[in-house]
Amino acid sequence: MLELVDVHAEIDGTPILKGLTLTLGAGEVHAVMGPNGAGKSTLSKVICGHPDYTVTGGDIRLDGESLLGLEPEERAHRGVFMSFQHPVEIPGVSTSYFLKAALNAVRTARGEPELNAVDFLKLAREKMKLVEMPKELLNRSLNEGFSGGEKKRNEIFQMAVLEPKLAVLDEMDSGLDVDALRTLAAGVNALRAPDRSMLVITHYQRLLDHLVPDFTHILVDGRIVKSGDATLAKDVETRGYDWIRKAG
Amino acid sequence: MSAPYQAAFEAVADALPGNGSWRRAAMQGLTFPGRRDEAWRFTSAARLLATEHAPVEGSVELEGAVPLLEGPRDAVAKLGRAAGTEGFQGLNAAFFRGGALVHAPAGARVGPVRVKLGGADGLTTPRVLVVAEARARVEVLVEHTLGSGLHVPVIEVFAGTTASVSLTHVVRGEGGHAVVRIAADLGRDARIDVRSFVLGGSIVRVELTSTGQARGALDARGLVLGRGKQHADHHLELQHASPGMASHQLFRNILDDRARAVFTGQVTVAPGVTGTEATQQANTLLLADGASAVVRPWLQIDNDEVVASHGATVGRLDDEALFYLRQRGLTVSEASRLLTGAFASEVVASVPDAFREELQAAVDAWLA
Repeated sequence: MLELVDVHAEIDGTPILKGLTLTLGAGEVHAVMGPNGAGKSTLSKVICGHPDYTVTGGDIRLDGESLLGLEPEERAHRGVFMSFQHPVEIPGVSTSYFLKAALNAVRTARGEPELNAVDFLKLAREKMKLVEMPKELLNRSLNEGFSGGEKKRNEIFQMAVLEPKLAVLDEMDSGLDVDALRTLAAGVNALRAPDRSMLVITHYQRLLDHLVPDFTHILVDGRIVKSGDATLAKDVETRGYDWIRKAG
Repeated sequence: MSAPYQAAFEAVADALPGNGSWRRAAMQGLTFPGRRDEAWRFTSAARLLATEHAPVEGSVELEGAVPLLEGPRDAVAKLGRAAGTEGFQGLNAAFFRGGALVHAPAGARVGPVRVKLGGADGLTTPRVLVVAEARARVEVLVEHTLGSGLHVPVIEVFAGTTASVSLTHVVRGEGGHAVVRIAADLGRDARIDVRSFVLGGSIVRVELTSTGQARGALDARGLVLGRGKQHADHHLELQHASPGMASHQLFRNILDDRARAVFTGQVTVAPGVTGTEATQQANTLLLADGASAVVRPWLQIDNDEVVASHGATVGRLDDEALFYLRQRGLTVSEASRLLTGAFASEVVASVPDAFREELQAAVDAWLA
């Protein structure tokens, strides 16, 4: 479903990804772990087309189609979703207004009819339960004054509404307490589907106790240096990254 | 060469209604701000005076107000008590023919009142007088639609003891010039809210002055939507003349193309006037490289016992916010429109219910 082939990427002329290759099959959950500065955030941003990053080599393909020439919204229309590590606060735009606009943009791109306000609200209420998100957040300005946990719930809630083909979860565990982590991981697990792939990017192994990946990859200095199953994350937890660096 | 508008005044003076000597005094004392006048440093009075327009009567449409000179004598007697005759106000004092009176007797609730003032291809000088007696509540919308000439209205607002007045003020028009004076006079424990929207016109200056009695509070908010080569200037001179007075200012400018906005928020707290509070926020969103803004806080406080704060920002749409919205599927133009509308929302939301929908629609139409 998603193929990254020898991807090189830079920001402000500084190379970050240096030949990253990774393939996700349909329905698979892959975890990418790595030390600070390895390129984890860059990876999520180049998949989504963040304008600050330049892909200087290689290709990123979704269902065989290259994403590289596409704008961020065109990628979203094809089913790419990213859960932000730091969701932005947008005062003056209500969460429900924004999400209805986003959903209808995606539905239109999929050739589905737009949802009216009543149907949208019904759908939103249903999906909020999945992450135990308080109902009143829907009417508040997007992420404004939300706690760290509420912002992350809101990200997974949006994912549930938008039903992406590919979900990139960028450090969804950062800033969460154990209970919130468990709730959100359960929400994400409920969204696993045969036609939906997920790329879970994390610094810590603890998320992967709750959200068990099919494959784990270790990203060091812009490349995948080791791949394995879920047990690889445990090795990293006990032994750190140095042994992999040395082995690589 | 004689001063501007002298000959025009002599030609029509005898036909103007009301107190001839007041008009004549205003005309004789008429002087206009020069280039060195700090209050006019960023808006050219010379350009406003470059063409001498023929004085004409603009249209006046009233809903819930009465023609100015037909009101109760006591109310009409307040004319000129809050506004003065210096500068462009003097032009209004000399030439005004009529306008609107909104009068609320003690304890009455009056509103929503609508006053629509049309500009023309000439000099228009309507006057609006809002008088809320003690404990009265007034909601009024004053809307100017500029013609191609010069529009110089004066709006005087009197809020008596514990009275409250909400003035929503809108300037529209394809082109045309305007200098609007809003003069607010606060009674003891009174409150005046001014919501000023500059949505059109080619050079528009809105001047707001206020003074008052103990614990009078002024809450002024404004929104400028500018594009093309529009120039919009909000100029506030607020006197904290009595103990416990408060003023709050929140102004937003959204500027595209080569539009320019000027904001001056002068607050003067006199020595010995204690317990006053002054806050000010002025934020500008620039949508194009050629757009620009000048913001001057100008707090003049000769006093330690005051709570004051001010903040100003000038910036562009936030790139990370744009990316977030695009990642969710909104196009650049949809995302920009959403963020720009959000920037205006705090001012629009502060408009009274009776007028909010039409202001929101005007903002939406501008964004579309």
